[in-house]
Amino acid sequence: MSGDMKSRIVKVLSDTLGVPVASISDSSSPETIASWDSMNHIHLVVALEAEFGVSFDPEKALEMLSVATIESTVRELGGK
Amino acid sequence: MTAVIRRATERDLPEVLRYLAGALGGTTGHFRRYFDYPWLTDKPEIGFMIDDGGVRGFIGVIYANRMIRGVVRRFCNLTSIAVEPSHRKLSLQLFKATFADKATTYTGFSPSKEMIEVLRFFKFEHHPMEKAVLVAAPTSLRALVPPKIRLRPEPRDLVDEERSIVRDHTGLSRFATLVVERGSERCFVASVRRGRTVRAYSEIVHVSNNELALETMPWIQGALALRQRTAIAMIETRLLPRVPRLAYVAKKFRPLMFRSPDLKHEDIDALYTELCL
Repeated sequence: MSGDMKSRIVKVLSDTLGVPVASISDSSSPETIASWDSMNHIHLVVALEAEFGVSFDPEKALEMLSVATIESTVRELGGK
Repeated sequence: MTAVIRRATERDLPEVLRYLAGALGGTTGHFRRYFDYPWLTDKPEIGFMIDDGGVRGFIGVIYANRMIRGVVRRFCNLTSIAVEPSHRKLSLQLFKATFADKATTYTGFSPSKEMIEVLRFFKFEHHPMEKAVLVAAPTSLRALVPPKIRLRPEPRDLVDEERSIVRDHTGLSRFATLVVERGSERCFVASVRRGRTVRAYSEIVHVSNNELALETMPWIQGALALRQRTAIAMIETRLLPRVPRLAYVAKKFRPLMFRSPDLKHEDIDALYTELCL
């Protein structure tokens, strides 16, 4: 289940940021992916909300800057 | 120097004005008016900025304290937003700093497409903007008894909130007020002249009695045409009970966006905002 959620998050990141799935790792962040800027972060949050059926608080969403923090936040909100 | 996000104060104004003129186009004088607004002498800040030894991004804020249903509320109207492409990864942190006060009502009256996305992210409400456009007074109304209109209302013609509005907007050359009286009814109207030359129009931003405003709109428009030298008047349709006769509705406007702890969209108008400056 954990692997499934993570792979779905990676797929959303890949689609939103326009980078290959293979290039996304646990250490990926706005510092390592050039296209991960503010506007794309908003698009990412919107796409994650649609994918997992959750709604992020803006403050929380601003902290989702890695696959791990995205996954833990989605889990906290009971994302499916 | 590492880039930091911080409050921009009066001391930063010259550098901020140069930055905005370069980033958005226009003169420093054009942007200065947004920070010299007359209704708040003790301004907490002029905005928030990304600073790495120079200005790399800026969000301007126009504050106002307004009495709404007997309670003073703090408003913050957003203006003059720009971020250097090299610092766009800090944009959302800049907005977060700007929207830090949960008790403040934040408004954006002309957000761009990108701004709409940003403001939605920060849980702003989104309201489509529709305006009734009035071109000329219909001749069929000339037979009716016209209301009495005071183009330059004296203080004695005004009640408390109206007196504050007039006082707080004193000196703004594009701003005009008038009072309509019909029998025992009255309506206080505030308007801003917008656009230039033949495209100039009067934008009515506040009416205190929307029924009377609706019924007397041709005369209001005529009075504003005289006072502000405009051939066209516009008013947001939500400020009136219905669209005035012989007006048409224009819809191609940027939406109103706001975030408030308790106010509804009917509580929000363009007084005390960049639109009046």
